[in-house]
Amino acid sequence: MTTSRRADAAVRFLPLSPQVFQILLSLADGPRHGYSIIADIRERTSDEIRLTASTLYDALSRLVDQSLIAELDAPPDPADHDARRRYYALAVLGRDVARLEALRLERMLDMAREKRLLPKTRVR
Amino acid sequence: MSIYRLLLHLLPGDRRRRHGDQMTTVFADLSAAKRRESGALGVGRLWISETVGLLRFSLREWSGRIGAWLDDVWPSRAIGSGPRLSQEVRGAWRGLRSRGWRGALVVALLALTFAANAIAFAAADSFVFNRAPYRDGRRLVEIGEPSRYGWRASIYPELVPVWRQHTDLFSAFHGTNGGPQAYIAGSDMPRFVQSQTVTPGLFEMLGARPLYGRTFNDDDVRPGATPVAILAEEIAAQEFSSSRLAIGQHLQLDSTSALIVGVMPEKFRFPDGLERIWLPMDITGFQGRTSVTPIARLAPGVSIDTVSRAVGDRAATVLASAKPKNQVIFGTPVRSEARPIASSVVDSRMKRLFILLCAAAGCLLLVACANVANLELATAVSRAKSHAVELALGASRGSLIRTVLLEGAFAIGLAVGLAVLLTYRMTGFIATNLPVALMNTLSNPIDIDPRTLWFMVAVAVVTWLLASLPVALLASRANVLDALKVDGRTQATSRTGTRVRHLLTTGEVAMTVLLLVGAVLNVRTYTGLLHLPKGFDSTGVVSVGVRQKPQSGETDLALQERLLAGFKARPDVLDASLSSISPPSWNGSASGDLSINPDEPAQGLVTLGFYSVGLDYFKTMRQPILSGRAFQPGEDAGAVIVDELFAKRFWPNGDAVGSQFNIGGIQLSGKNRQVIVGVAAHVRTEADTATAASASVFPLYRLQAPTARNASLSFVVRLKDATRIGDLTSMVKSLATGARVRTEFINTLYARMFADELLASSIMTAFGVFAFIVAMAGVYGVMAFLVAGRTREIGIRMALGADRGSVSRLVLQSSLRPVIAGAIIGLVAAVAAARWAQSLLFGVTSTDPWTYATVTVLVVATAMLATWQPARQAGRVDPSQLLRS
Repeated sequence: MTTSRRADAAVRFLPLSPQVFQILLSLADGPRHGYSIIADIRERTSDEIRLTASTLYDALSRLVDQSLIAELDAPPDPADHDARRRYYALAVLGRDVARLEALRLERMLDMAREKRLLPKTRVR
Repeated sequence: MSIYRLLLHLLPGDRRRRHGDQMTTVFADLSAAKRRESGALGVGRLWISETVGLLRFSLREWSGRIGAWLDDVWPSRAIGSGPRLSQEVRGAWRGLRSRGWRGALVVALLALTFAANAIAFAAADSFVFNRAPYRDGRRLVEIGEPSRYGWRASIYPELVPVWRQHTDLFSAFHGTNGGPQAYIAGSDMPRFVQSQTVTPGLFEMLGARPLYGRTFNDDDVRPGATPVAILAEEIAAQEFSSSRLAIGQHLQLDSTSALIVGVMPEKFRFPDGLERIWLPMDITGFQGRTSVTPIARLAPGVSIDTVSRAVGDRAATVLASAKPKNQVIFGTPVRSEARPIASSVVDSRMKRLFILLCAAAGCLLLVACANVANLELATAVSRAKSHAVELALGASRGSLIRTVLLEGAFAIGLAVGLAVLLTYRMTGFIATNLPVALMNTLSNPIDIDPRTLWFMVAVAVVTWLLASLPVALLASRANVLDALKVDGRTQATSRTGTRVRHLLTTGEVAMTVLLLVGAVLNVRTYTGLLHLPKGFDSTGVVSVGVRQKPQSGETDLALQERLLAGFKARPDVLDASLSSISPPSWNGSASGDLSINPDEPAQGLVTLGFYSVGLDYFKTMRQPILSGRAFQPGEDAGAVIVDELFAKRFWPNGDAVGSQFNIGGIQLSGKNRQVIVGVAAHVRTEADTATAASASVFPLYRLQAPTARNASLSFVVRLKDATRIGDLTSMVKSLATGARVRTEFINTLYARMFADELLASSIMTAFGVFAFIVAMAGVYGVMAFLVAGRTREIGIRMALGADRGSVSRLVLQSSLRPVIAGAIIGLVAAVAAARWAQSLLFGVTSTDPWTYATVTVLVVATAMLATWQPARQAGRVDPSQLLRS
């Protein structure tokens, strides 16, 4: 698939909801199981985005249906084996979508800077 | 966590299976973390947010699925991938036509069922819900007062103009009363027709329009105006060959002749079905009558309760202002109130009867639905292959389902059209053949109006859904590969298909058992009533009524003697006597307090029904005189013979003979006091119920005084041959030229008392037999089809060593299972229904074992017969040939 085609396929999913964007971000580091996704998001967003089991799986099932993520048959590290847990990994399309969403958000930030809502230089 | 697992059932099955376990694990981890962080309160908050999230998740899932299904069945035109709607319509029509006689059978079956339901509804609508057949009939009221004799809707005629001024209560106020009878000579059967007098404007108040001519106006009641009349369509047609030609002709009434100015449609009835001629009533110059029945239309925006209260409040003032002449007859009507017309026409028993008939019609509908669904399934299954090919060629499932539904809609539409025609025909037939007793007491004929038509449409839609949905489901699930691989019939015997067919058969059999039990109980009730003892020997007793043509120039006395002599001279007549009327009816009555001794207080309220009889009456009727004597020539006018029960109630010591009494201060036969000369055995009359004799209404026999009046004569004649009336009628006709003669066995008159039971048992029997035939044909069809589908399996069984007998038994067993299940369900339902209808039964209990056993044996045995042929066919399968093929 050419790059432009991939971009076309990914752009259909934009904009993403904050929860979906956070789930994709969580999976960007590598495969994770459900509880680990929730815990990661909570930690990164300082409890700003809190997912419950139903909201997580509502989103996960849709993301799987849309081929943005994939459900793994086995855990990436056999030592982590736990029959109750299923692992999810970011698909190529999902990574594209997450990247496009990040670019979109960046453009938004740039606009805010142009309008002097934010300082021009990034403050860490 | 078990509660959480339970909540997960909100999700569609596949989602739950896929994510349920993980969601539970994650939720458990979250709960544990929350408990560590913020204790029980935090866990509570988590539960709330989780439940809300779960609801949102399942809602999204389900709505997505329904949307997808709808898109599949009815895609938006914009996509335009499937065939166009017009193509589907054509396809559906072709499908229906290609079914040939099977399609015709379905349409005919449904049409009959729809018609039966519509008629049952129309009858119930009139009889049970008391729909007055006039424009805005609920705002029409009668004014009257409750008395100890029942509701009396009558006021002094002078009060009508006064009430008319109360325009805040009534927008129109009219009076009506019975009129003279007219002699209608037309056709082969001369008859007397009852007329009704009405004040001009009453027809307009009812919203009734004449078919031809006009209604009455104020000029018709001016002094010296030409007497005018309005006729019912059928009477006009009978008398003047065409109802239109009747206008401008003259009609002979009792003493005058009236000019016909209008013809009312046949359906119009006022106040009952009996009155078919209407005459104008002059309320201002009213003479000779003591009361009229007031009918009014409520003023706009006024409720009936308000009017009823206001009428009660104002009655005394109205009475005082009008100063009527005949104040002595009724008490002061200060308790007056308004009641909607046509209410309380039918008693609660009759209402129950009609509800039962409606339910029976509903059962019939279900049987027909089940049968049609079965037939449809058979068709759909045999067409599964063509459906599979269509699917393989790119037709969408939605399009297939639409075609199936449209095909059903065509069949149902045809059936509705046919049913409307049938209903019109059948209501006409029923209205003329319903027992007179039933039709004449009501102002509401059974007719087809928009309500009935809407009901039929609703029934049709339900049928359409019930009969087409199983087929549509089957079509939607049809697996292309499976259908192409195996022949259609094998697919029919798939587990789901068989289960659906067995369920439908069970339902059909259950309904049939229910209807048949109802029919048998009704028939047994009716025959039980017919065999009730009458109190006299009714075998061969004929009631003869003779009514002379007006102005025939002969007195009653001469004709009466000639006829009596004629009867007695006949070799086939045993006895004959004059009798003003034959039991169970009576001719006139007196109600009031009975006083035996003028100095003692009254004994209680009684009603005496009069029988004016000849000298040989008791001998002819074989009615025993228990004490005292029968009438003798030269009897005193005050001499009476009383009923056994009357004597027992008021003279418990048996000393009734020789005693005197008076009833309500009324003079009878010109005498203030009646002298009892004899006590006759009790004869069952209309006042008695099937289970008990009336405690307040008794027959009273008086000797018929010869009159010179030109009226009607009646006789009772006992024939030697109890089966043939023979040429008795023609003998009477030859002796009384131009007279109307009516001869009927007394047993027939008694049977007519049970018109409702006859009606119920006839309809229930018709429904029961119809359902039985339909259901058994259905059982046969299903079994033949299933056996045909299992041929291969049977062949294998036989190849493995099963003999013919065991194969036949196997088929019989598996096919009888749904029949027996249906019979059991039907029996339970029948017991429940019969208990509810206990008050309608007589001479048979609601749990009569004989009835239930007979019906069960009949249904199961017939079902066995129906499955016998397919079972035998199964035993004849040649395994070697079958397995080679």
